[in-house]
Amino acid sequence: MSVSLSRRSFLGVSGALGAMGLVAACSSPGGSTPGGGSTTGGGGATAGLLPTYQAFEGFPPDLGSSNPDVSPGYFSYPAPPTAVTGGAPATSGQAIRALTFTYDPVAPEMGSNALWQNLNEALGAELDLEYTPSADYSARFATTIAGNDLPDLVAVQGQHQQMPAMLAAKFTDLTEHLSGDAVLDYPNLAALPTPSWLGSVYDGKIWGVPVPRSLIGTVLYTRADILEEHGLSLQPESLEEFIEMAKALTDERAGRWAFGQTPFSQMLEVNGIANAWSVDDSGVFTHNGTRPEYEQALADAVALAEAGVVHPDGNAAQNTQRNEWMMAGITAFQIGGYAGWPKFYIQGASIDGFRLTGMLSPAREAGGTMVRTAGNPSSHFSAIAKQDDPERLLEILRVLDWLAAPFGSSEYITRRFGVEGETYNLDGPDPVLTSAGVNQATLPVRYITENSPVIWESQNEQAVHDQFDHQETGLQYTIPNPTVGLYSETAVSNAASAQQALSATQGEILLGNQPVTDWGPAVEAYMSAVGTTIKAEYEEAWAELNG
Amino acid sequence: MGKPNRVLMALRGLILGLGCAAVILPFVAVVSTSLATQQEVTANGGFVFWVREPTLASYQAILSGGVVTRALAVSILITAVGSLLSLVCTAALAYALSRPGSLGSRPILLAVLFTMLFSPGMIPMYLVVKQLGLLDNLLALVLPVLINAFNVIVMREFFLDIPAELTESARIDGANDLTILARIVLPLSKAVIAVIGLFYAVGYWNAFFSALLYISSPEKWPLQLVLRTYVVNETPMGVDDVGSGSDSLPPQLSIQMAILVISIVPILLVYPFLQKHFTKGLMIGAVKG
Amino acid sequence: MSRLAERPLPASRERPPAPRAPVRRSVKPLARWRRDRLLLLLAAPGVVVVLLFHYVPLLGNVIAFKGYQPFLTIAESPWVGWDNFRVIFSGDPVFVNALTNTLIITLIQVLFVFPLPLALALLLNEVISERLKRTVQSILYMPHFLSWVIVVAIFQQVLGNAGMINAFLRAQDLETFSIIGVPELFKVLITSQVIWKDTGWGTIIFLAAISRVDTSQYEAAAMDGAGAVRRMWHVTLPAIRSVFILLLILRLGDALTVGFEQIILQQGAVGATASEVLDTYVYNHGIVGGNWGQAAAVGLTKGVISVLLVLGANKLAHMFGERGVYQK
Repeated sequence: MSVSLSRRSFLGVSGALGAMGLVAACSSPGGSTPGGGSTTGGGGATAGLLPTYQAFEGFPPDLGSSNPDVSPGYFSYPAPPTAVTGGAPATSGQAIRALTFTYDPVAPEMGSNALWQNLNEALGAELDLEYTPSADYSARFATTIAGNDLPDLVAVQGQHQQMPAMLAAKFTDLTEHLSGDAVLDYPNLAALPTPSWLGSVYDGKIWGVPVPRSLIGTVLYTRADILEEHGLSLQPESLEEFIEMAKALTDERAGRWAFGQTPFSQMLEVNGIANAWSVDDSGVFTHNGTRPEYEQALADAVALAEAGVVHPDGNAAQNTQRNEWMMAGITAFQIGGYAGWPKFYIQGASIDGFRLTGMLSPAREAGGTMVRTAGNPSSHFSAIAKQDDPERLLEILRVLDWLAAPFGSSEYITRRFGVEGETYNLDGPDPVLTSAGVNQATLPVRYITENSPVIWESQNEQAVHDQFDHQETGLQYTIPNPTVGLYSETAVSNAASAQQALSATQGEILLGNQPVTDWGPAVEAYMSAVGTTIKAEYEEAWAELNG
Repeated sequence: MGKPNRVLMALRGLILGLGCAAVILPFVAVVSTSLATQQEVTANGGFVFWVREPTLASYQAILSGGVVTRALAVSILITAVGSLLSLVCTAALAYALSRPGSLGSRPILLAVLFTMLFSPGMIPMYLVVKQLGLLDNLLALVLPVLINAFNVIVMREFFLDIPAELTESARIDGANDLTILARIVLPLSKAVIAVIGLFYAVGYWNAFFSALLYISSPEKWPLQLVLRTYVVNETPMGVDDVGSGSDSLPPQLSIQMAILVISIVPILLVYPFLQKHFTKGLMIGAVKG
Repeated sequence: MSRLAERPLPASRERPPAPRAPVRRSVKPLARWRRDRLLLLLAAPGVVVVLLFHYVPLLGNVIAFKGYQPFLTIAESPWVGWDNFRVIFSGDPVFVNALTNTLIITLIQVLFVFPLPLALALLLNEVISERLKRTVQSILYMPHFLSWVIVVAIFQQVLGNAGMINAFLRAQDLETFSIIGVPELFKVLITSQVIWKDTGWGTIIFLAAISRVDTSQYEAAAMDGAGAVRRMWHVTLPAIRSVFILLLILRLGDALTVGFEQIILQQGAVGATASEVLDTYVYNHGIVGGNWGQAAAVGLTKGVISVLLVLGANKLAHMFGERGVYQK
C-alpha cells in the first residue's frame, strides 16, 4: 500500500478518492501512541522499549507550551548558535553512505557544494548521499533491497509486505543501543519526540531513527484576511455556523467558492470521527467506518457539495491547482499537510494583508466535543544496514545523533545553512541563505534524520503565533491514531483490493453518483473480506505492545 | 496537378487553422506562465494566458547552481550517442529481417515482436544491469533500450517496400548484403530513418526512470530526472517545507512551466531538420544519383 | 518539382504487395548458412541486446508463480502456483467493470483516434506550399511532448465547470455546460484529450510513408484528369496501406493498455465506476504496490492475450492479402 500511495502522490491525485479520511489513514504507518491520553507518554511495555525522552532545554523558545506535542515557536534564531556535540562524530575516516529521498530540487554535486564539503568536515567523514525524488523512492528502495548492496543508512518509507522479516533480513536491530536509557548516550536522539519512534518499531525491536513530524497533521488552511473582510469568525462553533460561513464566502457569479474540494475529513471530525480505527481502554478495536456517525459524515459532505460551496472543478483539480486557488482568493480554504504551511508565506508575500490560519473542525452542535485526526509523528525512518563491526555501528549512530542536533545549535546551521559569507549571511540573529546557498541547501541531509519540529518564521511574528496557536488548540482535541506502531500483515499485504473497493464507494458517494445508503453494505463487505482479520491482528499487536 | 477545388481547399484550411489554434493557444499560456511573476499567477489563480510583466526569474532560479545545465549536457550526450547506436543496430537488424526466407529471420522477428508484448519486471531488469556492472554508468541508460521492437518492425516494413529489382540487380552485379544495405537500402530510406531516429531520440530524451534506478550519482542524472525534482515533489497531503530563509523562490506554477519549456524546446528544435527528408520524390532522386 | 523530370521507377504500386524479394527458403541449411551469414552478423548486435535485456530479465517473470519479496532471492521465495492469477480469474465484478471499460475505450480509440493521423497526413499532403506544410506539421506535433498532468490541467482550465468558457458564459448570463466531472462523458473527454495530444505526432510515420510515393504517379493521375480526392484514393492510399495495417496490428497488441496516467489523474472527478480500466485497477488494488508476484501475473496474462490478438490480426490481414507484421 505504501508504494501505491506514494505513486498516487507522484500523480498528484487527491480529493474524493483515497487521499482523505479513512482510506489514507488506514495505510499510513505513522500516527500516535497507542492508547488514549498523552501522546508523548506511552505506557506498559512501550515505555520499556521506546527510547527515554529527554527534552533539550538549551534554547528557550519565544512561545512554549506545557503540552510536549506542541512545537516550540521562535521569532528569531537563538543567538549565539552553540555547538551541542563534542566535535566530529565520525572517527574512522570511512565514508558514510546513505540513501534517502527529497522534496527539493537536486543539489549541486559535492565538488561544487561548499555546504556539503563543510558538512563532511564537521562530520569527520565524507557523507555519500544518494537520493531520489520522494515520489519515486519506492522503486529505488525495492531495487536496492533486491540488489543486496545496501548503503550504511537507508530511508524506510511506509510499510511493506512482510516488514518484520524484511527488516530482520537486511538491517541492524538497534534496540540494544536506543531502547530506554541506552539512548541517553545520544542526547540529540533522546530529544526526538517519543511518538516519532513508534514508526520504526517492529516485532518489539527498534529498527531505525525517525524523521520526526508534528502530530498536528492535516490542516484546513484558512485565508484569515478574506474571512475578516466578510466579518466572519475564524473559528465557527457548530456545523451550522460552518455551513453558513461557507455560503457567505461563495459567490459563483464572481467565481468564488469556500472550498477547493469537499472537506470530507472535516465532516468526519464534526461527527466525532478521527482516524480509521479507534480503540477502547481494554484494547478492543473498532473500524470507524462501521459507526453510524461515518454515514452521517458522508451525508453532511454530500449536502455541503450540493450547497454549491465547493469549487465546481475541485474534484478534477490537482492539489497545486487548489493551492493557487486559495492564494488567488478563488477559494478561502485549502486542505493540506501541516509541513506545507511555511511555503504559503513565500507565495503570500505579494498579497496585501495576507494572513493564514488553521481552522479546527467544529463540533456538530455548539459546545459539543471536538475531535481531530492525528498526523504521522514521523515522515519515515533511517535504518542501518546489517553491520558486523560494532565500532562502525557506534560511529554511524554518532553521526545520526549529530544530524539530529536541535534547532538553535551550530550543527543545525551547518546542516541547513552551510558556511557564513558563502552560503548564508546573518540578518541580525537569523541566518539567510545566499542565492548559491539556496541551491546548495537542497542537499537532503534532513531526510536522513533531523531535530524535532519547531516553528520559526524569520521576521514574521504573526506567522509564528498563528502556527503555534493552531497547534496549541488543535492538539488538545487530537485523538492519537491507535494503529501507529502496530503491524498488521493483512492490512499491508492483502487488504488493498477490499480497501480500494471501499474507497471507490466512498468516492462515488461523495461525488453524488451513489446514495449514502450504499456505504453500509460496502463497509460490511470490507469487514468480512479483511476488516475482521485486521482488527484481530491490531488487537493482538496492541496487547503485545501494551502489556 | 489538377484544379484545386475551392470548397475543399477552404475546408482544409479551416481544419488545419483550427487545429493549429487549438495547439498554439495553450502553448502561449505555458510560455506566458513561465514568464509570469507571483502576482500575476496569483491574480489569475493558475495559468496566465498573456503575461503583462514578463520576468525570467523562473528560468534563472532553475538554471542557477549549474545542476540543470550539466543535466542538459548529459541528456544531449545520451540522446545523440543513444540514437545513433540505436539507429545503426535497428537498421542492421531490420535489414537482416527484411530478406524473407533467410536463415533464422522468422524466429528472430517473432522474438523481437514478443518483446513488445511482454515486459520484464523492474527488479529482474535491475539485477541484470547490476550483474553487467553497469550501475552508475551512463551506458545503463542506452544499452537496455538500444533496440525497440516497434521501431525494428516499422523500419523493416519500409525496407520491404523497396523494389526488389534494385537490390537483386545489385546482387547480380556481385554486391553483398552489407553493400546493398549501405548503397541502396539506406539511401532510399531517409524518411523512415529520420522518423525512427526521432522516435529513439524522443525516447532517450524523455527517459528518467532508468536513471532513477541505475544512476546513483545525481551529477550524472539526465535533464528529465533533474527537472522532475522540481515538479513532482509536491505531494498532495505532505508538502514538506523548504525551510525558512529560501523565500526567494518564484511561484511554483511558473517554475513548472519554465521546466516544461526547458525540457521540450531542445527536442522540438530537432524536428525541422528531419522534415526535409519527408519531401516527396526523394527516392527517385537517390536512385538516380 | 524538378524531380518530376527524372526517370520514374517502374510503377511498383500497381502490383500486389506480395513479397518483393524472392523467398529464399528452398536451399539446403549449410548453403543457407553460407549465404546468410552476413545477414546474421548484421542482426547479431540487436539480437544480443534483445536476449540480454529482454529475455534474460523476462525469466524473472517466474515470480508470477511465487510469493516474491525483494528481500528474498527469486529462488528463495515460496512457490504459490496460480495464486497470483486469482485476481484476474476470480470474476470480481469490479475487475469485470474495469475490463469492460478498457475494451470500450480501446474500441473507441481504434475506430476514431487511430485513423486520424492518417487523415491529417493526407490533408497535409495536399497542402501545396512546402513551407506552410512544414510549419503546420511542426505546430501540430508539439502537444505530444506535454505530460498528462499538464494536458489535463489545460483541458480543465478551458472546459471546466469554472473554466474559461464557462466563466465567460456565466458572466454573460448564458447557460453553462459540464463536460469535466460527468461520468457519462468521461470516455469522450479522454478520447478528445488523446486526439489533441497525439494526432499530430501520429502523422509522422504516415508522412514518411507518403514521401515515398512515386511523384510521377501523381503526374500521370493528374494528366488523366483525376482530382485531389481521386489522386489520394488511387495513388496515396494504396502506397501507405501496408504501413497503416502494420500499425493497426501492433496497436491491437496494446488493446488492454489504455492511458494509465491520463486516467488515474482524472478518476477523482468521475469516480471509479466510470473510469476504472485494467491498469488503474491493477494499480489501485495494490497489485503493483509491493505485490510483485501479482504484478508479474497480470503482465504475463496481458502478454499472452496481446500475442493472441496480434497473431489473430496478422492472420486476418493475410486473408485479405496483406503482408501484416510477418509473412506466412
